[in-house]
Order: sequence, then structure tokens, then C-alpha cells
Amino acid sequence: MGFIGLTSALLALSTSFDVPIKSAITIDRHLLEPGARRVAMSDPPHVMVGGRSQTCNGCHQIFASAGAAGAPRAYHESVQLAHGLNDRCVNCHDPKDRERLTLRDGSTIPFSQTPQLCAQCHGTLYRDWQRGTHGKTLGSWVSHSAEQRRLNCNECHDPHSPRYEPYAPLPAPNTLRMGEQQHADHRESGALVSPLRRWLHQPQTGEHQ
Amino acid sequence: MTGVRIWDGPSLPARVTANALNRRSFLRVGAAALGGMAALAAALSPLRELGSDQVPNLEQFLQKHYKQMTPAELEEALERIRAKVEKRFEVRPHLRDLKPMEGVEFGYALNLSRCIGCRKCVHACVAENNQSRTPEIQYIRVIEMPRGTLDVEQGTHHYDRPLVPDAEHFYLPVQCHQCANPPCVKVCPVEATWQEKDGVTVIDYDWCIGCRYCEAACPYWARRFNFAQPKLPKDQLNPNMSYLSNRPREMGVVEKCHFCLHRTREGRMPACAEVCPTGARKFGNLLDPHSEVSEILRTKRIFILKEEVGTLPRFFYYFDERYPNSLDPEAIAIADDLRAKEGAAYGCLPGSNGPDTEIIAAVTPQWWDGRTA
Repeated sequence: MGFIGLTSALLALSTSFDVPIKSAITIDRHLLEPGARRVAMSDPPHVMVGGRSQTCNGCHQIFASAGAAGAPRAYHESVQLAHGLNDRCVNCHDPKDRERLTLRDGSTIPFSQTPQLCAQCHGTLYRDWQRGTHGKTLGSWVSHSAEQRRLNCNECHDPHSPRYEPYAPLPAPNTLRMGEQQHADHRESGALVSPLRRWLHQPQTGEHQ
Repeated sequence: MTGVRIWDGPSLPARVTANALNRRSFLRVGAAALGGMAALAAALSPLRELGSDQVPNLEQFLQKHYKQMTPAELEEALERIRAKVEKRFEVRPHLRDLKPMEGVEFGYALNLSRCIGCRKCVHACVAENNQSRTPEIQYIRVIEMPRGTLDVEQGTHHYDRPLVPDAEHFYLPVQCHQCANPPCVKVCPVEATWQEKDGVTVIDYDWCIGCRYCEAACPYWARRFNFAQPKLPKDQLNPNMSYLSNRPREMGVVEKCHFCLHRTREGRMPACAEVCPTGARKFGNLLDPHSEVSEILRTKRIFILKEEVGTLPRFFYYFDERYPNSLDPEAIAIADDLRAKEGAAYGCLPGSNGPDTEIIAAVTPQWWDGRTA
């Protein structure tokens, strides 16, 4: 009986060591939704004018606009053209039918076939995109299956400003083995990044004999 | 029998009789018993932290290895896990056992030219695979490294910038490489981890004894150990799970990336590949010559991490060629320079179609002249 009492007393009194356990930061679900980065222009394209959906030709039948590059625009001011040397609307948009796009040979294509237009200059990327080595594929990994959908160029890149926009990164890891969040000064120098470096690091001498 | 000789040892000899118990022998026996009890108590003290649902019942205790279970026994085990998950998370999970698909060997390719280090893959993986939130367990880690080096010692996991990518750095995500020659499988003393026919190395979490040999053997630091009882908020549980992948784990077992096999064995993309905003992550069937990964292996410049250790990973890193993709004069100058030095057509591999040089050649001079005039 005494032994049992002693055991239970020891069990009750023995201290467990505390490990500082950190919680993960909960990520908002909408940040992790898979899908296209941007909504591409529909085909045929529509724009909102005065709160109502209008077709392009609805206006452009009246206003045959084709200003010089960099000239002030009376409409479409929100379009920021930053596409390198390609700085004219009518390089891509058909001047006669605004609901179609124009190729270099003068033929026109609907908005849904945007990759053909981009392919004229970005040949290697178009080739890679066709192979599936550039761009994003959704749905299924089974090649050429019905569920597989490869996003078009303009579902990731804004055609008027095709540079891929930077992101705010999601939070850094907080796990035990990855250690404490290091101070920015240390991180920049690179010298204290790895805990091993503290011992492995040898001071750099200017010159060797 | 004049006197009893006390054997000079830690325990009481059997021939000691009650009337021979003197003060000295009582103290000896008492001290030995106290020491023994203290050791026992210390050894048992971790059990105090276990809840009633963490101690296995007889059925769980007698559960066989995954490969040795008959279909009926496996179904019993699945039902047991379903009930346990339902009790703990108040959600009936869609738990099943998915077998490898015929003619499929999974491979992964990651485009380092396109990865921007946004860590969406890291957190999508956590949301998909029911990893412990407290303490935090993540399968994917993203290393930010200075451009022009592959020295991970100069890299950091903890980069925290307002916006990525940073122009001076590139980003190297690392996760389980699903090696064809996996060192982690070789060292497991109880065969709780093995390679499936589709190339995915899996773990039977009920068979793992938590020795962490595999974690030490992995050259990619891909395995994670549940040091504490994994905590996961009820509303964050993903009820779509399978036996070998993302069912909730217990304390003391090892876990790792399994290419989301509860998704991929049904034809869907892994969570990390699906969420990647740039399309840098490519997943597919290596045995299918038309799959995206096969195309990448055929046409891109590939490298694998720690090739010299002979693990034969099914996880490949690749770069895009250095070609002028924007009519940017500087990029074209670099490409021209490369062509002069290396004889490479805009850095393309032999056999690939190469860039549409005709169009670039036709367009650029007149445009440049127009710009500079």
C-alpha cells in the first residue's frame, strides 16, 4: 500500500518540462483559393459604361478613335499601357471591329484566342505554353483530359501591362526546428542565418599569401 | 543456523524471513524500492499527459500493418478511424483507402524562373493535409537565396518582405522528393514507410514507432515528427482524407508530403500545384509522354537537389531559357552575347524549336529605330 501511495505521489509531483510551442497563423481561406489570377475579357467583350454592360462596337461605331502613342485619352483612362515597345492600341485591337483582335498579317481573331496574338512576339513562351511547360493548368494532371484546363495568357497577365504583379508573401514558418524569427539585420548579412555558421564561420581575410 | 547472512545486493534474497528483518535490511530494501518506484514513476510520467482517446484500445493495438490487412480488416480499421475523427472533430470524414493507379508514376517539376516565393503552396498544403497547427507542422519550406548561388547556407526560410519576388533573390521550395531510391524507407526498422507503385513514399501512421530514423536519413529534411499531440481547430479539418495520406496523426509519429494522394489518385492536382499562382509547379505522370512533366523533362534544363547522394528524386527543378521575351533591348543584347559566346540560339536546348527569331528580327530594328530617332 505504501508503495502505491508513493508512486501516485511521485506521479502527481513530478514536473513535466515545458517546450515553447508556437501556433501557426491561420490563413484566410480566400487567399488559398485555386484559380486564375485575373478575369480575362469575355468573348465577345463587354465593358461597363454608366453602370450598364456595353459592347465595344456600340461606342466605337460612333467614335473611331486611334490616337497617337502617349496622346491623352478621352476614354479607357484606367488602361495603363506598359507593354514595352508595343505601345499602340491598334497593334493588337482591330481598328475596324473592336470586338476582335488583329494579327500582324491583317487577319482578325476573337478575344478567346488571345494566345495566338501573343505568340507573334512571344514565340518561345507560346511554344512552352502549348507544351504545358509555361503557364498554369487547373483541374487534373491527366493530360488532355476533359477536366484539364490550361489558363490563357490574359488570365495571369494583364495584356496592357503584362509584367507579373508581385505578391505579399504569406507568413514565414514558426516551427521549432526552424528556430526563432531572425532579426532583419542578421538576415541581411547572411552570417548568422544558419546556427551552424556560428561555429563554421571563419573570418574572411583580405588576401591570401 | 546461527545467523542470516544478508546478500550484499540491491534486492532482498528470498531466504530472508520475517523475523530476520532488522533495521539495516529494512532500510536497504526500502531505499531500493523507493529508487525503483521513482524510476518507474519517471518513466510513466508522460502517460499522465495522454487523454483517454489517445490510449489505444485492444482493437487498435492489434491492428495489423497496412499491407497485411485483408480488405475486411482494412475496412474495420477505416471505420475505427472515422469514428475517432468524428468524436474528435464532430465531422464525419470521407475516409477511404486509395490504391495506386495502373500505368502511373508521379513526378513533380518546379520552375525556379517562375517561383515568386509567395508561400501559398506551404499554407495550401497545411490546409489540405490536416497538419498540426499547434505546434506548427509544414511539409513545404521555401528558401530565399541570393541570385547566382545554390548555397542553402546563405538562404533563409524566414524572409518577410512586403512584396515578393525580390529582384536580388530567388526562391527554392523544398518538400518530399519521392525518391526512387529512398533512404528513409531503408532505415525504417518496422517497415512503417514504403514506396508505392506510383512512386509515392507513404507512411502507415498506426505502424510508425516514432524512432525518427527516417527523419535523420532524409537528405532533404522532408519528414516531420509530431513531438506534441497535434492540435487542429475543428473547423479547419479537411474531411476528404485517405488512410495513407492526410488522416489526422497522433503524437509520436512521423509524417511528410505524399503528393496529396487522396487527390492525385483520383486525377486531381495536388493542393500545392493547384494553388500556385504562377504555374511554377507542375505535376503529372512520368510514364505519359504527353504529360506536362514529361514535356519539361524532355525540353527544359533540369536539375535535382543533392544529385550526388543517389536518391533519384521524382522532384525536378527547371529553369526557363534566357531568351528575349519582351523585345527588351537589354534582354536581346544578353541573348546575342550568349549566341556569340556559346553558339546557342537564344539559350535554347538542341532539338527545341527555339524562339520565333524571324518575327523578332523583323520587328525589332524598325521599332528601335523609331524609338531612338
